[in-house]
Amino acid sequence: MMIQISKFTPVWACCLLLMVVGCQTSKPADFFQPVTLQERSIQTRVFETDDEIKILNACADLLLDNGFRIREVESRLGWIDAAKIKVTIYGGIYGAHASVVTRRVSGRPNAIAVRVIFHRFEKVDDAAVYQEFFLKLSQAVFIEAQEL
Amino acid sequence: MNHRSCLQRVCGAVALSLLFASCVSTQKRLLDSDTSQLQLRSIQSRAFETTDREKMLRTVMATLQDFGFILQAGEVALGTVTGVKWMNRERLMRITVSVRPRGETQLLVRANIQIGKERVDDPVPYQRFFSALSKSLFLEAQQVE
Repeated sequence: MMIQISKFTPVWACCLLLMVVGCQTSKPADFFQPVTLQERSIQTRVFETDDEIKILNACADLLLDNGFRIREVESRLGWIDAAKIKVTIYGGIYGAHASVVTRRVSGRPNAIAVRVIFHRFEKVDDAAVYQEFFLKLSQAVFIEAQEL
Repeated sequence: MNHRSCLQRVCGAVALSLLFASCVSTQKRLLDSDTSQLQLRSIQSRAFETTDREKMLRTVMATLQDFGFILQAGEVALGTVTGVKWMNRERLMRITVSVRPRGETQLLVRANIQIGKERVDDPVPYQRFFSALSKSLFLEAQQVE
């Protein structure tokens, strides 16, 4: 006995598969996966200084120079939250967000680690953006940025 | 007239029974809620053998950044840190972490995860958060009862 396969059967099968896949919702735990070491390394640089406030101020100035608006600062936690929103000539909205966190490096009393994460609708992964930020920061504080 | 008063009595009885039934179910739910609240508190909280609140808050921030959260608020005075993360274009996940002293030698860290306006009761994301936090602190997290 032969089963006749209509030419539409694979199409229906694909639709059904897509529906099943579409119905699967991601669990909250799926969003608790740590970033890779490489990603963290791109976002972080160490500066040979014990003056955390100086580094934090330089970060705030740098963000302001690049059109960001400082939204929140908590110097005791070494944290700056900044954003910029621009309306393009075509009426579209362009938004970017920067989150800077500074901390003392354990075992190195004269070292401050700076971690910056940029978002433009989603996380910015382009290493060149981070390199440019840290290069400008090094120039501002006259201290060379080292990789973690 | 007699028929009307009979109808009134039936309506009154129905209203009274509905009121009574709603009271009973509310009371029952209140008790249910208490039990689940305790359970939830246990899922959401861990105690750490340290009293350095500022260091704890900084480590919480670093841990949230490691999970890709955007830090939205952080305050030493209140001892809270909030981070958000887009799950997709419509759904936003929010985590608020509070750090409070517990006795003289410990800090109690409590995390609250929300998706939109709904609280996340699944223990797995909390376990992953506390496990990463413990590793960063080099301290063991203790389950709170």
